[in-house]
Amino acid sequence: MEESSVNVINLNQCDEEFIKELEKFGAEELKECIQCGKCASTCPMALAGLDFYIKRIIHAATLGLKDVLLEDSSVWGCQSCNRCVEICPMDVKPYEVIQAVRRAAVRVESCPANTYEGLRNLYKNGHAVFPKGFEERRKKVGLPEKPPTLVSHEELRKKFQEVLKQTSLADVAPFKLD
Amino acid sequence: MEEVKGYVGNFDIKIKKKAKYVDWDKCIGCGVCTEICPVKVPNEYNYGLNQRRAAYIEYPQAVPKKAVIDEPNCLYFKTFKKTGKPACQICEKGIPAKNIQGCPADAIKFDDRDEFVDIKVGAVIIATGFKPMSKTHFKEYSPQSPDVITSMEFERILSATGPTGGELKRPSDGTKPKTIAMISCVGSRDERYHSYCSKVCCMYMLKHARILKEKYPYINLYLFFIDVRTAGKDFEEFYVYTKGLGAKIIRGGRVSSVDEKPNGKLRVRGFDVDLGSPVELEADLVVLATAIEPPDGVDDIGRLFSATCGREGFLREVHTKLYPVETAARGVLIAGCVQGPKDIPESIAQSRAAASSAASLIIPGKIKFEAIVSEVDREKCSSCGVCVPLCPYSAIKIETYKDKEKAKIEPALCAGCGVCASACPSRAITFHGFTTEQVIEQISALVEA
Amino acid sequence: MKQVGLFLGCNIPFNRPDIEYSARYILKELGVDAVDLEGASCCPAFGTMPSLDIEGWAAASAWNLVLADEKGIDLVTGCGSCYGSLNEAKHHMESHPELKEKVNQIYAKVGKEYKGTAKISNFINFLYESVGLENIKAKVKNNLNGLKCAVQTGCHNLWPSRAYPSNEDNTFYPKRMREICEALGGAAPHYSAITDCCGMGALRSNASDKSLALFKKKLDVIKEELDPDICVIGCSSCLLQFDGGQALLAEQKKLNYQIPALHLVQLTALALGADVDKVAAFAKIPLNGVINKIKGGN
Repeated sequence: MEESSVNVINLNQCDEEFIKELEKFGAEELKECIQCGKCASTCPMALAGLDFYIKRIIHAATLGLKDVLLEDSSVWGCQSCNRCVEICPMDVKPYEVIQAVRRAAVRVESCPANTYEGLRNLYKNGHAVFPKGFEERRKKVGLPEKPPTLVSHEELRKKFQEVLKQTSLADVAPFKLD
Repeated sequence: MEEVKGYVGNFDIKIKKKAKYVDWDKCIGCGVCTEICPVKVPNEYNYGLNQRRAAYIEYPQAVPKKAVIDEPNCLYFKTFKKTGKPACQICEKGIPAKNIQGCPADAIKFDDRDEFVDIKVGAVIIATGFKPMSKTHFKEYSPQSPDVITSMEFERILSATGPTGGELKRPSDGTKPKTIAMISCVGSRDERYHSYCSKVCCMYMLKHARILKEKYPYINLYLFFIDVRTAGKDFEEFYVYTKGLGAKIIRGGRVSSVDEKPNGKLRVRGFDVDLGSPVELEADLVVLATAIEPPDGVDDIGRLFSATCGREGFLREVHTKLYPVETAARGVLIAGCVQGPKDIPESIAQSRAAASSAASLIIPGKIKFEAIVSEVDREKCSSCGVCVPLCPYSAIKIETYKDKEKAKIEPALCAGCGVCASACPSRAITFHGFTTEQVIEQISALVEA
Repeated sequence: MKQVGLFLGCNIPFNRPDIEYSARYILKELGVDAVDLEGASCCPAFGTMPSLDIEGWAAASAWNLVLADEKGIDLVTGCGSCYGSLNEAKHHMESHPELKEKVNQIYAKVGKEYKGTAKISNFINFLYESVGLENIKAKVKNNLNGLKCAVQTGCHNLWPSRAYPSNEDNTFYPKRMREICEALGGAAPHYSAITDCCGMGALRSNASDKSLALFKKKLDVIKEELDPDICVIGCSSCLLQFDGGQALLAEQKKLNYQIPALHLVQLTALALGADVDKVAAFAKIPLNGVINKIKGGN
């Protein structure tokens, strides 16, 4: 039988260090939020019906509810549309809070598998989106099989990889940067 | 207000009375000129929702009820400036060919000039009110739509003397709206505009809702709040009563967008914290409760009297709790929204407090000053003048003393800040109560203790 | 001859090279020299480096900006995400000099330097400002003949406006794409959901059903309010949703209508005389009605 749980969040689990971590990761204006709800009325995550959407994420963050946030994968459904940033009356930059939660989550490997797939593609080919069969498609419209990007430039790709090796990708990637 | 001289008990004020081009001693307020004038311009009093003539009475209840001619728009003045010849003059002479009479009181006075009046007063109360924000700032709320209006404009539409004569009509097509959305906190609680709460919006939104629901019970009315702030005597009861009339309250979600539909309706998107969900609504009319702002020119008035403005641009009281109607300039008092957003009961209480304070200042005929003021030793003064522009209260003047130019501090204006004393290169200014010797003594005493 | 660096990104060269074809076609027709940015990378996408930290994001974006700096050109892209990611990274570096310095410490190791001289535009602003409506009008070979267009600018092409070098007067009431469609001979009325998110992006990758439901809501509004001949899209990601996502919804029997969708550069290419088989080689929703209308039918 599935274990049932009650619908109560324990506020004593507030983790002040987590709040500081989020601020460090770009959620600098987190505490300015007055929960007016303007972002939530237009956030695609809220409109689409994800459990956690911008307003709730920011509130949970200010309460330091680390486990609640990191156990939920909603942040990875953020469209980065930045409409919240554009309209936020307190200039909280809500999107930066989402990114901060992602940045904290990825360090405890709490992210969807396709995140790593994108990172692997980016590192290996220089392109996060790298679908099969593109050569045929390009030929059909009379373009060269490979675009003039990193896929066509081996030497530059190595340099690009050198750049990425100097970033936090080196600490976070669950694959070898070689 | 053109010029202010003097200080508490002895203000000399020069007031400019703008040329009205109507002789107010003769004008009987009959309104003939306001009907026959051929020039139509947007009516400021109704926020441009209808038009007035170039000869007009500001509003039906104006006191005194007298007409004025709006010079920049008047045909007579426009033509005269261009050609040097008189034109129109219909307000004065009427249109004899059509048997239309001009001003019956012979009050039109095209050669009227600005007048200057000098008055002497002991105290001044500044009560210049506020300005509601315009909708143009709020691009996410479709300000280009004529059916998105501010609460002040809506107030005019509801008024029997307003642009529609009290009939509920939407500006675009004159139809009666079936669904109305009201949005709170537009420009208030908003770092991009005003961080403060405008305080009166929640209640006037409820007032509008009550008027509407009592008069038109079948209208669908949605009020979008962040929080419903109804602190004040009988206010919460008013809220509950209005809800009872059927006004729908949406809480916890500032509206994010108002979008125009091709059929002329408006899509409103908000968030309902009680439903825990985004909500949307198709409305015929959207009313924005825009923030209360300091009136234009308040900083100029403040400067005239050496009264200071706060960060948000309202005139600042000396102490929020102990001196709520006094400004940094003695004898200059404030009342109403020029000090910050407030409602009618509070404005009245404050203006009575200001009137009492003014009376208690001037009725005795003498004024007591604090002893903590600065004084210039004119023998030591080198006449450099450094202190003059530094004084925030304009209390220092250069005067002739023993045939030389020397600084003098007017004790009635000095507020005892000490800026001049610390800046004087000749050490000619003594700050009574805080002389160098006294300060050193205090430090020694502290060190010993 | 005017020059511009063509920033391809990922989706355009790999998934929808017909957009790349169209972009090259219109630039040539409009007398603009499209310079290839040899060795360009992903912008990077928001779910990758930007989700690790700002420094990594800036370093990865700077790769492309450095390539543009080296050639002394500005960039134009047909992808909203690329437009957003590159501009935001640049904005972060401009407003935080210490970040720019860190990025340059990394680039010194590969013998390069980020200067930040290149501007990044999208095709909407490029056509509207750098080319101009009159110049576009002058080059039209196939007038759109009143084709009714529902335009979708795309979120990233509008916000965050603080990071963008040029933008709409009112980003919540966009007009530039509408005016471009009109310059091509089409009609492009405003509709209430014009700035609504189409659902493409991380939502589509991580909650596909919800993403498609959000898209359907938008499409239903478009159908109800405008009933257009075509949806014209300013962002390649949005186009994947409007075309591929719509085909998916149709497959799932969740739609009882279909509206063809093209990227703005594809529609422009059609109007400027390009061959429809190449311009819309991978469009999943048939374009027969659109082509008929342009040819003068109804």
